[in-house]
Amino acid sequence: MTIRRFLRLLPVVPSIVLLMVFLLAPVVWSFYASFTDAALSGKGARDPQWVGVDNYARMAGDDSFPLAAWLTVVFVMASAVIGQSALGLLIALLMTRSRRVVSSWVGTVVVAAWVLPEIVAAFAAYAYFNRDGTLNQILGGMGIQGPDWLYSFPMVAIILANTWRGTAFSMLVYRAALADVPRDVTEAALMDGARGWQRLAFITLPLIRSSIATNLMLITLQTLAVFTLIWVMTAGGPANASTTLPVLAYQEAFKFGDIGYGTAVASVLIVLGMVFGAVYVQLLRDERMSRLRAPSGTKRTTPGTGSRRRAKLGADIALVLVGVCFVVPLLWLVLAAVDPQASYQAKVPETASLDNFRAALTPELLFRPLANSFLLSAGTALVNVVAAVLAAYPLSRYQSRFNKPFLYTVLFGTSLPVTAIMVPVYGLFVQLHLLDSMAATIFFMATTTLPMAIWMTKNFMDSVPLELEEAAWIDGASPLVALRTIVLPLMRQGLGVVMIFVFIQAWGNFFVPFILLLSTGKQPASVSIFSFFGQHGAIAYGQLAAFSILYSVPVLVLYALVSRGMGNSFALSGAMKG
Amino acid sequence: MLSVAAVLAAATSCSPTPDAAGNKTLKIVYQKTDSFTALDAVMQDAKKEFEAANSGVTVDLQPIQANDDDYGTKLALAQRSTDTAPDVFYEDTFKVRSDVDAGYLLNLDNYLAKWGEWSAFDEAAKEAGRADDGAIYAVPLGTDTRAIWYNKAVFRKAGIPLPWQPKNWEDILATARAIKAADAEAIPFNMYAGKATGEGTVMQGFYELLYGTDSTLYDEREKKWVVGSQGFTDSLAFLKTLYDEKLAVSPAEALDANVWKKVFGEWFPQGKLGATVEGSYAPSFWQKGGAYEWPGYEQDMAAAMFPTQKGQEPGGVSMSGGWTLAVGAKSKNPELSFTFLTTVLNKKNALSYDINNSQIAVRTDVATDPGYLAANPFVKDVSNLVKVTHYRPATADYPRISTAVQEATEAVITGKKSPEDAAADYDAALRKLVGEDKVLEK
Repeated sequence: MTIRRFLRLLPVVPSIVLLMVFLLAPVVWSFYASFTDAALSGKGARDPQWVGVDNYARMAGDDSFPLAAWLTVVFVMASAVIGQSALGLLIALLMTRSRRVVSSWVGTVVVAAWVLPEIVAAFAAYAYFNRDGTLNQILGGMGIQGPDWLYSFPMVAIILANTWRGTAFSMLVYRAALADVPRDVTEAALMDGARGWQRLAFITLPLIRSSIATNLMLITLQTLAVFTLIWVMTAGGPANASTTLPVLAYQEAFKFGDIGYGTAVASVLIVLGMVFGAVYVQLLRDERMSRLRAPSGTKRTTPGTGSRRRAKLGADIALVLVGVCFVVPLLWLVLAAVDPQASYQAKVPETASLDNFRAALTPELLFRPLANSFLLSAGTALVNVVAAVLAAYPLSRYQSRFNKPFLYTVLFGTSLPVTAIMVPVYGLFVQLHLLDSMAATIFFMATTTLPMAIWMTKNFMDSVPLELEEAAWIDGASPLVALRTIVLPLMRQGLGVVMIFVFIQAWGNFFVPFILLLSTGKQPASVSIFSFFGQHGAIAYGQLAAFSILYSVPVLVLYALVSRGMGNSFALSGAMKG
Repeated sequence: MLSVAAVLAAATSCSPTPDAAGNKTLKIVYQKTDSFTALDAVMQDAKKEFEAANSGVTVDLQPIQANDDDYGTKLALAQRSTDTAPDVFYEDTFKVRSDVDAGYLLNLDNYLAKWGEWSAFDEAAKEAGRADDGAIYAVPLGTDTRAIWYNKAVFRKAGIPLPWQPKNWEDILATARAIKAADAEAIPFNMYAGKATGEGTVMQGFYELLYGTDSTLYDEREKKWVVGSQGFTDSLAFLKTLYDEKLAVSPAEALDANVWKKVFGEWFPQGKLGATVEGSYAPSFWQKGGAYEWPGYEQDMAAAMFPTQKGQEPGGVSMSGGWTLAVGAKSKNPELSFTFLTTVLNKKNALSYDINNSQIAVRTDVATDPGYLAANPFVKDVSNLVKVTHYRPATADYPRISTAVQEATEAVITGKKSPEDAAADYDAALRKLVGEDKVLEK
């Protein structure tokens, strides 16, 4: 009996191995290395010594660490908790009472900033907040002399940029949650004469509180790990004024080559992520697991009545304003790309041409990096789907004492800030001789998204009725045959969502290939576009924009496909809710 | 199971596989950017030459497209692992000792003893590749000096007599103020500062100031770092004056890592910039085939020696650095790698590199070549500065100390700290980095 139970769990093994090798081992290594003087150069590179708590003591005495910790808190509170979550909720609420055409247009614009690869969003934000950028151009039009945002107010710039980029996620989660709020409840309150804000505070918000909690947890963890956006916009400057913990860990470990101190900073970040992760898991334990299923994707349409027309107009105007704010930074990308004389300002080109695109369309600059991106992303998606389906099957089909702890561990895994483990992962890759290997990079990238993929896949698999499979078993099919012939075909849409979700994540990933792939010939577009920015970005604005667009098109198309294929974007957000 | 097998496959596929039938590959890593292609050109030539002479050996050129800072990081990342460590690579002189400590560089003494052309190298230049154990680990490609480059047209407009040679710091300020008075839009005299420009901040800026005071950064005889020096504070105060009086670029512009591109590519050619401290390689950007071609730069630009603080002996200051080629300690073909290194550094290739990159030759046979002397009108000016030049202390902890200096300049030009406070912060950082027994009050 026990052997049979064990055999049933066998398909989970690949996932466990991946998680142990690429997530658990780096975390352990990180804690270990933080007690040594390991370095990229000098004596610490040849023969690292155990230095006890020296690195942590230095952290306490170093001005830059407390500052970075404080800036991290400010960044997370302002851009995630207040910015993304509050704005996302506001947009979602406005959408329930606005015209369909308005809400779908604004929804598209907000989502566009989120689907764009992170590095492209960062360029767009950099151009927008630049001294000569679009924001100051708009302010100038209103007679206000704008400051040099990236220099004078770097935190404001990165907080606004991260809000702009991430609000879509909260918006999607809240839209799905609000759609599940029964109308009769709010209408009953309306009968009782409750005002709008009272209905919101006492009825709507309490009803969606679990969504709010889950969402806050997720975006907090995502924001904690933000690196690329800050690195491109300010590189942590001026004078550490926007150096958050991930940026500090990178600088110490890779720029100054102080691996020991860098991993100490990273370890603090990992612990911080663990604390959040523990709270998060605790929150979800209180919920029934079944409530975390992917919603079916049905949407309640809001019938508009004549008496609400005025409220509708107000909501429409507010939404359009939000939409404009979200679209302006993107406008620069499009306009500059077709303008041979582009600058950081968004302006209609005097003579539009495709010269910038022509300049970017070279094998070295575009095709080879794109091919590498494709290889990395497709490989990552494949590994994820295979490992996740295998792991999800026993979890979904058999009751076992093992299920719950494993699922919580997986959930916990989603909380790990990937930027924090890059220093130890680099060390691990050196030890295992995996540096500069495409295959190993694929497995690592796959592992970082694997917890989410397992979670989503299990939810999709739960919604396939068990009866069909039992019929197959009676006919003598083995569980794996049943999985292949019955379950997988029925959940192919869900698998498509998982695959594309992972693909998009991998496509936009800059930091991981930047550290792990060293030969120019293996670098994906996210890295080649970064070096293009470093070298030509200060001069060839138009080419940078054209290059960014060419690089973004594949994921935009994929996202459009998946959201259409699933009927609407709710499904994706719902599936990710876990 | 599938993924486990694949992990193993990935692991084995990456371990070094010996090439069949004696075919060998040498991996060469160096820097290439849109404004620095001279080395790439020489490498391409050397590859052809070397492959023709050594059949069965393939030279795999792997240029890294990055600025100096990122290049250093990428090179260090690659050197940690035997699988990615290059056979021959381009190495900054100030990183040589630190990387020898790390065990990345091959001791070249035995190879150099057998290389006849080694005697053609300038004795002082050979020191660039020497480590603490007295052995040579790297061979210099060329060296450089720093001078004040100024735009004669801008100076003429302000009525400043030419040729211009300031005698002390006060002369610089007086001239800069005169230029500002004549044209409020002009940037009279720029000096790099802040962390964004990295080594540029100290090599083309702060050290010209510090080494022209009665103080210094590092006492070579005592092998100790200097703290509490008046010269350090004075140097910061000079930067503060330049930036406060808007004689230099705005602090925001100074903290842009690409500011030097604007200096070479826009401000000098457009006559917006009066003067700046820059390397002897400046003409390489403007000459034909350079990144920012500027026909007629020979007429518009001039070079002057950076003066000492109060005109004290020897009257001027310059800084020298330069890059080397080294062989990886983990190279499986050290003999062949060294042969490739000598191909890159033979007279023909060295001459072409020194001319295209406006380097000061380190081979005596190149230095006397008529082609080298005629490369640009400034060769003589900048070569003369060798007499007053200084080298960075090439200790293993230098890169961190350099960063501490850059932080001090950044704090001062952004108005966050007074020169005194920034200097005190630097002293504190230095004591922490090197320890009490390695510092010296001076």
